[in-house]
Amino acid sequence: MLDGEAQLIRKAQRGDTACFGELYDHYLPKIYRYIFAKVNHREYAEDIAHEVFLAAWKNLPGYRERGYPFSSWLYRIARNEIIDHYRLEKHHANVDELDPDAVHLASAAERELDLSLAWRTVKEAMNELTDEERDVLLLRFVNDLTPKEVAAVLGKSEGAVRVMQHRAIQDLKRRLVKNDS
Amino acid sequence: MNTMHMNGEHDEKLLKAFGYLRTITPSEEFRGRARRSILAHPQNVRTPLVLRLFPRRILWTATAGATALLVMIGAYLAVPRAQLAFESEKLIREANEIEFSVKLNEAKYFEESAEVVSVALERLAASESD
Repeated sequence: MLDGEAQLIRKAQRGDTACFGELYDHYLPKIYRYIFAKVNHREYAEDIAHEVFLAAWKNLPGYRERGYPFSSWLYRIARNEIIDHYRLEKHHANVDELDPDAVHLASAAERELDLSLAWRTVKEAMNELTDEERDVLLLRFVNDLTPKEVAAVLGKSEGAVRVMQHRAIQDLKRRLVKNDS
Repeated sequence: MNTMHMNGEHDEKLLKAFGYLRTITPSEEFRGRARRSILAHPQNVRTPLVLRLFPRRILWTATAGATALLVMIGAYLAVPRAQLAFESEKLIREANEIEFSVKLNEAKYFEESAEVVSVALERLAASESD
């Protein structure tokens, strides 16, 4: 959570663009990463991230804190935008569309390729999981959300999220073994 | 990263894949462009449903009427029950006193009028005998 986040939100709700800018700068990379992992395409990820923050800015006056962090609200918007994206565009992400040149990696080229290949393999196996199981894995292990926060994003109980996480990891490992053999 | 209790080649592959995703960031060009575009839009103003359904003038009139009614009800409820009872007793007593004084005045009238009538009758009788 961002320092002084509650105050930034209150000010942004009254139309303070600078305060919303701070929230945007802090959360854009996380939301973008989550979207990218789901759609595997730089331009789609940018379009959707733009829509997420536009919806957040427009609807912020109606936002009410209900015991969950602000980020959970943003992830929920992102999740809905991704669903809309697939429904309207009829576009289905394919692991072959992964565009390593378009992403900015902090690591060296060889390591980048290695990581990228690992992601391709895992992504392929992940495609066979349910949409909710994929969300649980990405939100937990890529975006570092707690089970409670993931539960808020998905509208599930914390216990259900823990069960889904366990099941998804076991399933993913089984699929990786199967794909290798 | 959250701890995953895994081991072996596939566990390493999973960790690498998630590690790769963690390095992904949006470009600076996109970040700035999207920010400017988003903040150029106006925010949605939350208008209560009732304001969207009725004209403002009707709402003001209805509000003023409802306020006046509430003030009257409040004033009525603010008077203690005991005081109301006392005031009703006082009213009955006053009514009785008025009735009593009317009766006294009537009696006085009849008394005075009887005397006048008897004098008039005596005069009439005397004039007839003359």
